[in-house]
Amino acid sequence: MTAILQLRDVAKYFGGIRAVDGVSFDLEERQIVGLIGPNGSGKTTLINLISGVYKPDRGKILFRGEDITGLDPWEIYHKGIVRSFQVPRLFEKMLVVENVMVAHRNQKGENPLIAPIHSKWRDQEVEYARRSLQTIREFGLSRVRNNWATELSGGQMKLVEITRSMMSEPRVLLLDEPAAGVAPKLAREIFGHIVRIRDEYGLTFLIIEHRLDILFDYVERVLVMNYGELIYDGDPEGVYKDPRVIDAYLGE
Amino acid sequence: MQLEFLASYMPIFTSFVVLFAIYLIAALSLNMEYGYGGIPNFGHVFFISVGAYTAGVLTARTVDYLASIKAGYCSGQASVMRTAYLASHPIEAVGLFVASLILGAILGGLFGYLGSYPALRLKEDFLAITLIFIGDMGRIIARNEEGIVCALTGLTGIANPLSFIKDVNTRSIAYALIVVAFAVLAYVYVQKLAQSPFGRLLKAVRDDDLAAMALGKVVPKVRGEIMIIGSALAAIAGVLRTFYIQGVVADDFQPLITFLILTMVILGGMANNKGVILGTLIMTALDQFISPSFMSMLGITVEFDVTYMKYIIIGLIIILVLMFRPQGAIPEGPVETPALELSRSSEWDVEEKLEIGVETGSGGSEKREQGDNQPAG
Amino acid sequence: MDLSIPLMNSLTLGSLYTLMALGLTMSFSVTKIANFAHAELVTVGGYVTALLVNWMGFGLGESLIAAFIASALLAVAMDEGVFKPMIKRGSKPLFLLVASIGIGLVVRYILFIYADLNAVITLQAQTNVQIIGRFGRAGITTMHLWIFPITIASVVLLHLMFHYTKPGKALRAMADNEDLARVSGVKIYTLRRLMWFIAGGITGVAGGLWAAYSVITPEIGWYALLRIFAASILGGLVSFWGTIAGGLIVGFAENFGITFMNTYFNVNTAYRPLISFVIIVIVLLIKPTGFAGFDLMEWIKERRKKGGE
Ligand SMILES: Nc1ncnc2c1ncn2[C@@H]1O[C@H](COP(=O)(O)OP(=O)(O)OP(=O)(O)O)[C@@H](O)[C@H]1O
Ligand SMILES: [Mg+2]
Repeated sequence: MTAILQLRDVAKYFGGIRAVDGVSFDLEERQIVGLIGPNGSGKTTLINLISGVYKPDRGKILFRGEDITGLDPWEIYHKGIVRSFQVPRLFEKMLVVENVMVAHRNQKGENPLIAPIHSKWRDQEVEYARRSLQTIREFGLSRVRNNWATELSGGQMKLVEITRSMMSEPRVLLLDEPAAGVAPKLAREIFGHIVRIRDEYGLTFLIIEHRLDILFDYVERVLVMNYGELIYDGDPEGVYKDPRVIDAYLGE
Repeated sequence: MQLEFLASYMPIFTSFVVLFAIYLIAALSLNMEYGYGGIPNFGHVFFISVGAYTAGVLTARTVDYLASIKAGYCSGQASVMRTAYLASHPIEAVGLFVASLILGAILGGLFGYLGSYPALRLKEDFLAITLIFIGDMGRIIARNEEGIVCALTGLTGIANPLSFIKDVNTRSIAYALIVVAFAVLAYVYVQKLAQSPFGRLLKAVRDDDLAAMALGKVVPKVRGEIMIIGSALAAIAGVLRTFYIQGVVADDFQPLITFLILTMVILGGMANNKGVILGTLIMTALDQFISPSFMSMLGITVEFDVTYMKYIIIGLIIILVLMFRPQGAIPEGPVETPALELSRSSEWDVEEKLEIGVETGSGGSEKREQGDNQPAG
Repeated sequence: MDLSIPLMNSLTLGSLYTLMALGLTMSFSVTKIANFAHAELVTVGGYVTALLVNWMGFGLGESLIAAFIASALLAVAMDEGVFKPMIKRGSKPLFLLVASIGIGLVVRYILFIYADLNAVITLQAQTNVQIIGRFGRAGITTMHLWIFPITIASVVLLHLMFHYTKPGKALRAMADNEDLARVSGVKIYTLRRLMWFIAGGITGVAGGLWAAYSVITPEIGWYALLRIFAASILGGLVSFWGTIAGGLIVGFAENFGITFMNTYFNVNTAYRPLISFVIIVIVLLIKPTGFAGFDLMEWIKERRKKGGE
């Protein structure tokens, strides 16, 4: 197996807060990895660093051996690393289906010179629409696909957020609590879907999740963060036995 | 008798139509930038003035050269001579008109691109503050600049490209038709843009620029593009205006003009080009009919300058719309692309079970709710 | 070159800009509304003062008190009538800004109509200004005895209020927490009203002083607004001491900047407002997220740290 994403001593400080403090790990291709840890331990910040939302204060991030540290978010996206947000960030004055359509890459009609000539992008648009609608259906959102984004429930917003991140043919998906606020049944469906996508397209996943009972049924490797540091990196079974994890996160 | 009566109203009617068409282009451009793109370009009047001055300077300089006019650049004499030259040289007149449109649009786009620089860095309310003042700084420079734009005298004698037509009525109707044609073109263009993936992209950047970036959208590029397009359109409105009033002077470009155009957009409905037509129609009527000349025509005497009334009404409209109907007369709709057509077809109504996992919700109740849940249908 | 006159002018204008900007700093920090109708609080204060002095024979002191009350009530009315209902309906900050432009237009042009009907489009409060001393070639007048003490007293009083009184501290808490500024509740509303009252009042007094110092028109506030924003932005829009520094910097930069450029580069003095504009642009480019919370010392420290690495 080859490492697709490598972090080397990555750190980010907010004033005095060491949000991420020297984290290193490799993600192997086709792996589904869970990232857990107490609230405020730096998980979201780590995703923000990888996806280019923040620039790290220290350290390197490599994608397929290429240094991508400090690139802009859209550049990271075009390399093939796509993230979802913990708190859904939907485009409010757009329909659900539009929200998903936006996410497709290389849209011809997004070029203002081509956009007015509808015939130039119609075919691509229809093709993308089919894919969007198919995925929308798979995530159980068909019923609300023509609703405004603001009309959704919290869980549905979460689902749109994930649907969107799937549209862009990514190589690595960084999902920030995809199942938070989603009913257990559906949460398991989402994870089942993730496994299937991995098998079918060979994607790599880094998934933040607090619901360990669900998460551990689907991931093969778990990273645990505490106060910005990586305190555990191994298989799910080991997590429950590791004294530091028990002390920092699981409790008794 | 009847005909004469009508004819006496013709100039008012044509001037209304011309102003409406020019304002419409300006309002559509602001709607692109602010309504769709979320860039509060409240220095809009500046970009109009770029076009207006391009037309003025280009025409004045060229005519002075071609006709070897020796009278002072800003003098009234030069103005008279320019008018005479343009009336007797239709090819040059039309050529200068076309050249002004092209150059104006290019320069407008260039300034728009420069204007997108703060737009990338500032939070939207600070951006609005900066742009409002940018708009006024342009005017302050122009009203003190003697050599190029003739300060408070302004550039004059920028006669209508159709001034070879001798009959005044025919000429003004013909020019009105040209301006209306431009307005129609502008509308078709912005509407095509808005109802495309580009329109969707603009709205995404407007609603949440961080999420848009995370979805691979090069936000600075998008903001630059929309400022170029919007400002080029605004500049075209400025060019058409200069040739209509046959000149250009600094104090025509008060911040109030931006606010008038902003009111057209807000009243009609942001991110809705049809709404903007409505808003522009109402506000142009207000702008035209609450004026000293129209009052005196109606035989109404007012003790004070009635234009003050106009601005009070504009202010009230802004306040009332934002308080009670912030979405405007015609609210924003979805971007109508083939994707939406497809999405509306019932083919996609059926929920499919995920291949792995358990069944989702109960199908029956979902179907029933469906009708209520589709506002866009 | 004798600098006493531009120095005195800068100091006077700087003080007036400070006094005008204090209210904006206050209302922006607490409500996060970039209030363009702030301009009209200046104008109304100016007109009330000038008309009372000229027509009613009031003294400047009484007239300034009346100006305080008039602008204070106007400020409260703006918030109660427009901003508060809009915030309750969840309006975006930018809409509040646009609405404030609307309010500004309404007030300004009502004033215009009034001024037109009464032939007071330009106006100055006729006070008995006497020269009481000299500073180089510049005269120190009784006007300065009004302007400087009032400005200093306002800054000191506001500082004391915001740091040592209960409502002041509560307002500061609102300023620090954006969400709190949007929360509803009886106590918060009372505080907001108090804040607008004081902010409006001080601005009105500033307008009144301007009317006694120089000529006013119904647009005087709108013209001053660029300087007011520049002063507030320089001051970080949070601290009153910052605002006084901002006001003085604007006053000095405009006077000396334009004198300098006029003398050596033959720049037209009418370009004076560009200096304030450039100040706004520079400050915003340094701190693009906006000036709220901008702390110069903090910024310098940050730069040093980066330079040291
Ligand atoms: N933009 C920011 N500015 C200042 N501090 C921040 C910022 N973002 C995160 N932090 C701080 O960094 C630390 C890590 O936050 P982060 O959001 O990464 O935690 P998390 O592990 O995702 O927590 P949770 O499980 O609650 O989502 C926290 O102490 C947080 O307060
Ligand atoms: Mg988190």
